[in-house]
Amino acid sequence: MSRQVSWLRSYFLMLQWQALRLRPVLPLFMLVEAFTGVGTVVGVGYVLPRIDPTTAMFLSTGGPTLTLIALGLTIVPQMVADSKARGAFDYVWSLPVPRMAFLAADFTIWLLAVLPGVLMALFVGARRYDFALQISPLALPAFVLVALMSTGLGYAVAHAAPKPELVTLLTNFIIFALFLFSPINFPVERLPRWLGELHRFLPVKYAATAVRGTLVQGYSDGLGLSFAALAVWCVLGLGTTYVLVTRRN
Amino acid sequence: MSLLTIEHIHKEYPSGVRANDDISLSVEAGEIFGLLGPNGAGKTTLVNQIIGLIAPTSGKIDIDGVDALANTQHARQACSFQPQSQVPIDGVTPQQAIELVGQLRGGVRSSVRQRASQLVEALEIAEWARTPGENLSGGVRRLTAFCMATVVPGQLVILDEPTNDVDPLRRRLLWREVRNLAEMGSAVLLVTHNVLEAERSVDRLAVLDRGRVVGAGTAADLKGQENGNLRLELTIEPAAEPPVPAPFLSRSVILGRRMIATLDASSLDRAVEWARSLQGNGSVEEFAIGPTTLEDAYIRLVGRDDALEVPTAEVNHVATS
Repeated sequence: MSRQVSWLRSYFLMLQWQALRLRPVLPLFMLVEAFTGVGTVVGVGYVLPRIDPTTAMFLSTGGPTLTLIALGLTIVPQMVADSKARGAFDYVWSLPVPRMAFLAADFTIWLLAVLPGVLMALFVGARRYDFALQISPLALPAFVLVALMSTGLGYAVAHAAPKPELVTLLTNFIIFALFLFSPINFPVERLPRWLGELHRFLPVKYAATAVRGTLVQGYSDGLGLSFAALAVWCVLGLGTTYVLVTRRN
Repeated sequence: MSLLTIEHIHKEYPSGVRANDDISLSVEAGEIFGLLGPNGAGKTTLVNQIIGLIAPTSGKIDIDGVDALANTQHARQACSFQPQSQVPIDGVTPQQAIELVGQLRGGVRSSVRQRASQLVEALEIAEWARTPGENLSGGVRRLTAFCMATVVPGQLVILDEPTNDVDPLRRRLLWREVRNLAEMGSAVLLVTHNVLEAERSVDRLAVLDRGRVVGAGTAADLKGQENGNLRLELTIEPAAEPPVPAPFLSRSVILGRRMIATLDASSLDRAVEWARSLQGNGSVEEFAIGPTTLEDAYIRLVGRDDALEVPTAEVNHVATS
C-alpha cells in the first residue's frame, strides 16, 4: 500500500521524471541557449560602431544575464503553457508529490541546461573584447538567484494565464522589452529618466548588477542591494506560483 | 465504515454550469464501484473533487475517515488515479514511468520493479516495456497509465475510462487485474460510459445524468424494474429508414444502425413475426431478442441514448434470426 515519501525524495524522483521527459529536447535547447548567449555578446557588438572597455564589459556580462532572465521569463512559461495545454500538470498534480518539489525539479533541469550557454557567452565575450574576468565566489549564487527570480515569475505568469496564446504574446513582449529597454547591455543612465526610475522597482537592473558585480572587479557597487532586491522578487514570484499551483477551482 | 463516503456534493462553476447536483454515494474496501453516465454527466468532475484537483461548492468527502476536502495531500496519498486523458509519458518508457510512480507512492525500488514487471506481463505489453512513450499506441499508453495507477495501489483506486483505445483481448486481462486490486483490499471506483463492460465487472454502480445520481445499486437491482421484460434489437439495413416501432414495443431508441426496444414476454411471438417481416422486406438486416440488460435499465434511467458504446456482437442472444 502507498505511503508518504519525503519532500527530498519526491524532488529527486521528479528530477528523474523530468530529465527523462525532456531528454529529447534538451540538447537542442542547450544549443539554442548557447547561441542566444554568445549571439547576444557578439551580435550586439555589431550594432555599435566602437567598443570601449566599458561597453565591452557591459556586453560580456549582459549576454549571460539576458540568457538567464530569458530562460525564466520566456522559455519556461512557454514550456509550462504547452504542458498545461496537453494536460500534463493535471496528472502530476494528482500524484502525492508536493507541488513545489515538482517545480524545484523542473527548475533544476532548466538551470543545468542553461548554465553551459551562460558560461560560454561569458568566456567568448571576455576573449573577444579582451578583458579579464574576476569571478567571485558569489557568481554562482548570483546566477542561481537570477534564474530563480525569473523562473519564479515565469511560472507565475504561465499558471495565471487562462490561455497559452496569452503566454506567447506576453513572453514575446518581455523579450523585446528586455533587449531594448532594460539596463542589461548598457548603463541605466542612457534610458529616459522615467524608465530609469521604473527600473528601480523592477528586478532586471538588479539581476544585471548582481551578475556584473560578481564577475568584474570595480563594479560591485550596490551588490548587496541587488541580491536583496532579487531575493524579494524570488519570494514574490515563487509565492505567487505556490498560491496558483495549490489553488483548487 | 465505508472507505469512500461522498455526501451531498454540489459543484457549480462560476459560469453557472451545475456539474454535480447533490451527489451522495459510498464505496467499500474490496469493492468495484461503477460510476456510469453519458458524456457531461459530471463523472470526471466528481472524481477531480475526490483527489482535490477542484473544490466542491458544498458537500463532504471522506476517505478512510479523513476529510478529503480539508486534507488534499492525504486524499492524493490514499487514492491512485488513472485519468481519462492520456498520461504525459513522452520520452519515458512504460517500465520507467511505472517504476517512478511506484516509488513516488512510497514503494521500495526492488518490489516496485517486480510488481511493474508482473503487471506488464499480465497485460501482455512486455514487448513495449522499453519503448519511449511517444512511440506507443493509444492502447498501450492507456494500459501503461493503468499500471502506473496500480503498481503501488492506494486504498482507493480511481480508474477513469481505463479501457478506452484498448483491444478486446487486453480489456479482459485488464478487468482481471481490476478484480485482483479489489481482492487485495483496495476500493475501486470505475468511471465509464461503457455499460456492457460495467455490467460484467462492477459489484455496485451509480448512474449519473446531468450531475445527479439517477440510479444506484447492483446491476440486478437496477435491472429489477425490467424483470420479465425482453429486449429486441434490430440491425437496420444501411440505406433503409428505421422502422416505425410496433405498438407492443416500448422505449425504442435508435443507436446508429441499431434499434433497441423493450417488450413484455407475452409479446415474444408477435415480435419475432414483426421482425421477420421487416427482414423479409429488406429494411432490417438481422434481429435478436434476449433478456433485458443493464443497458436497458440505463436507457430508462438516462432517458435518452447518447454516449452508449455497445458492440452489437457482445449482446447475449436467446433467439436470433
